[in-house]
This record gives sequence, C-alpha cells and structure tokens, in this order.
Amino acid sequence: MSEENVEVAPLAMDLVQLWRDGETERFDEIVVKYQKLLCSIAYLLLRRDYQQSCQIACEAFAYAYHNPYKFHDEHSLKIFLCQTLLTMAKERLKQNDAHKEELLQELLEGYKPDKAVMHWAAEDILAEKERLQEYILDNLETLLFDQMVVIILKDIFMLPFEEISEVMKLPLKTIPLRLHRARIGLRDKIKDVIYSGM
Amino acid sequence: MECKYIQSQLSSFLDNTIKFSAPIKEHLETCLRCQEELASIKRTIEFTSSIEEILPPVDFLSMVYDEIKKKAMPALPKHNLSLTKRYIIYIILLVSAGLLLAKMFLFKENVSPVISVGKNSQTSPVSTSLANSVPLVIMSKISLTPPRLEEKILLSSPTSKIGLITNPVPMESDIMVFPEQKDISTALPTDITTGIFPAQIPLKPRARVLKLVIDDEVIEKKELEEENTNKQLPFYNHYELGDFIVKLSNYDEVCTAQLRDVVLVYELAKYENHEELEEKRDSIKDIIRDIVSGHTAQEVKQTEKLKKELRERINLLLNEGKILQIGFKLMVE
Repeated sequence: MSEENVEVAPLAMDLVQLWRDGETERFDEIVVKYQKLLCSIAYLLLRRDYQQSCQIACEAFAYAYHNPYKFHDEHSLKIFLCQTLLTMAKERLKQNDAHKEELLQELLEGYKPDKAVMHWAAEDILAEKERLQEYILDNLETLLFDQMVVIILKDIFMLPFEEISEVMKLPLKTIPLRLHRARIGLRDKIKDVIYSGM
Repeated sequence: MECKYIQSQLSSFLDNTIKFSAPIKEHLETCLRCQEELASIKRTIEFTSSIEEILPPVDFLSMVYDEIKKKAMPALPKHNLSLTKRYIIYIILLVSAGLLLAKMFLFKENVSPVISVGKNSQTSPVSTSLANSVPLVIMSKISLTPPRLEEKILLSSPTSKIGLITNPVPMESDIMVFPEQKDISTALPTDITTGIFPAQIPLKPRARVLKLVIDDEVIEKKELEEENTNKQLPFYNHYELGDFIVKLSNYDEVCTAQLRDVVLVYELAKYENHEELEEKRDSIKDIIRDIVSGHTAQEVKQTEKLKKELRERINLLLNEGKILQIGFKLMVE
C-alpha cells in the first residue's frame, strides 16, 4: 500500500474535555451517546418501569451537568453516570417498596391500567421471544440487588470487569465471584427454560 | 480433580478471564455433571445477553435540560464565572452589607448587643450600665405567641432573681444550658459550645431589651404592659453525650459529619428518674449514629429537621420521661 493511500484516522477528541473547555453543545452529544445505556440499565433495575427509568436517567445527567468537576474524561463520566444511576435506582426501589401497600390498595379498589399498558401486555403475549424475555426479566428481578446489577452490567451491557468494579465500588477480584453466584442464582430460577432446550 | 472446584471456575472460564489447564479440560470432556453445569451457565448467559436495550423517548434531551433547569445550581465550576457575573455578586454582597450596617446604626438605641454580668442588685431603668452591676439571667419574654422550646430553655433559670425580657430572643444557635446549683455566683448560664461560664451574656445584636426584672420587681418601658413574672418557671438540665463522627451516605464522595458536644436537654420536674439516660446511653448513641449516617450532607445541614427526627426517635426509647431538645455543634466535611 502506498503512503498516499494511508488515511490517518483523526484522534477521537474526548467529549467531556471539549465540554469542559467551553463547547457547551458537546453536552448534547454526551447525552445522545449515553442515553440508551442509562435508560436501559434504569429500565432493568426499576422492574421495567419506563417512565421512572427515563426520569432517573435524566436526573443522573442533570447531576453530572451540575457536578462537572467530579469526572475528567468520558470514561470517568460513564462510571460516574452509572454510579449515580445505581444509587438513584436503589433509592427509588426503596420508595417503591414503601408504596407497594398503597398500590395494592389501589388495585383492590378497582385500579385499572391505562390502555397503552394493556396494549403492550397483549403484544407481549403474542410475541414468543418477548414472552421469554419477560420471563427471564421476571426472575432476574427476584435476585439480590447487587446480583442483578452485576448480571445487567456484564451479560447485558458487556461492560468490562474493571468498569463494573468501579461502578459497584467493589474490588476487581470479587466481581467474577459475584457474577458466578448471580448466574447460578438466575439459572436455578429459570431451570425449566434452561433444561427444556438442552 | 474435584468437580466442585471446576464448577466454581466455569463462569470465569466462559468470560475468558481464566484458562483451564490440560487436566481440567480432560476432566470436562469426561465428566457429565461438569459438562451439564457448563452448558447451563452458558445458556443462562445466552438468555440474559439476548435481552434487548430500550430506546429512550425522542424528546429525552429536552427532558434532561428540563431536569437541569429544575435544579438551581451553577452549571460550571465557580472559577468559570464571567467577570460580569462576579461583579454582580460583589455588588449584591456590598449592598446587603451596607443595608445591614445602616440598620444597626439607625436602631442603635434599641440595640443591646451584650449584657454584662455583675453581682449587686439595682433597680433602675434598663441600660447597659445597669446590667453591668447585677447578676442577670434572661427569664421571660413578652410575646403574643407561646415561646419556642429553645426560648424556654434560654429564658429559664434556677437563679430567677433577676431577669431581662427581650424581643426577639436569641436564635437556637445561642441556646444556653443552666446548671442545677442555686449559688448565684456560679449559677450563671453556660454556653454549650464552650462549656465556660461567660463573663458576659451575649444577645443577638437585634435583640431589644423590653423589660428588666429584679427580685420580682418589674421595671419596664412605658408602652409595655406589665407581665406576671412571679410564676414558677421550669428548671432544665442537660445530659452530655460527647462527640460523634459519622460517615454520611452521599452518592459518590466520602462525607463525614462531626457532631460536637451533643447534649440532651430535659425538664427536671417532668423527668425525675433521669438516670435512665445513663442506662440507655449506648442505645441513644447508636440511634444518633444510625440516623445521621442515613442522611446525605445536604440533609444533615438541615439541623432543625435532623434534631426533630433525633428527638422523636430517642423519646421512643425512653420510658421515664422525655427529652425536650438535642443540641450539638455540626461540622460537615
């Protein structure tokens, strides 16, 4: 290959650094880049409550926006966002549990889900793949919070162990062990599906 | 080779974090149980990894900016503030300082910033020179509404021979605790924060002396109605718990709160067996630690709320009586 044909890839500029240097519109790019990850993690952590998950993802971005000195590059921003999201989700789950009795009461008093939810439910029943996914998620949610987090981060979002240990604020060595225990726990819960296909 | 050991390593093997040696590989080829275990974990991973991500709403970015606007905080670090903004802040600060000074000078006659403590009784109109010569204890206040708890504590004393009526009364940060002894020479208010008998009783600069009470005789300003000062005032005591250093539950930074000179204030008449506090000292300390550690730095700084929560929880523990207030000096790092 001749030298003329060699294209030197431009150095990927760190969005966070550009934003901190005064390019305020870079924050939009940051949001667009990480919105899917944050919303999806929140969605799984918050037992598939779409509205609440988008809300806490927004709060996590807003928190990062107001605390720019807590991260210095994209990697640390990603970790910071995930950490914030985990803490917020944990708090929200606690609050949700506290309101569970009230919700039950509402249901007993004739609460009906809105049409959209019913529509989605009908679609889920029709789609086999989605039904299986729902089943897996139902069981995933019954795991301990930390076990659920480690499976979500590793098996669903494929985060490396180093990042998971930073997000969960745990030593690197303990992550594989926790992951193993979490996988075994989940496997035992979805035994019927696992062994039916083997 | 033990199956149990190999099975515990299967997850790491599938994640490529470890590599199995030849004997382990041989074992895996022959042992059905381990093969089954490996396949089941593999299938679990396949199932979880097939879970699809969700798509955020189309207007997610605007939702984020709405959220940002909700929180009224600086968007960038302070050092990035433009010069104009800085000047505006300086001007606001200067103007407010000027207003404060002007207010102090305009109402100078009504201001009684410090009242000194003396030993001899005198009966004369209210003035700082008078206050210099008598042992003064603040004991009552003219108010249309019942005084707040902190005011009650401040305004009562076993040495209620001489008192001042002031309006408004010092703030909570100036709460003083009165010792039990009735000896006038030593029974002067003790400041919680220093633990030393003050030579002077400080009042808030804006506190105006409205009435002076000396040996149950009231000398007051003409415009004020006479108030019955002979009524029995409750006596208060306090129980010291010492200092606390508690780690706070903040999102992503290590924060500690130091609660110095923690005291529990109670009314003597209503808490005869106050030795209960000594018996339950450890439990009370645990409650304080538990509650404080469950808050973030911002929440802890709302001391009114925190004190209320602590008081209510401690009172649930006590059987013989109740505490009226909890006092401490707070530092958050």
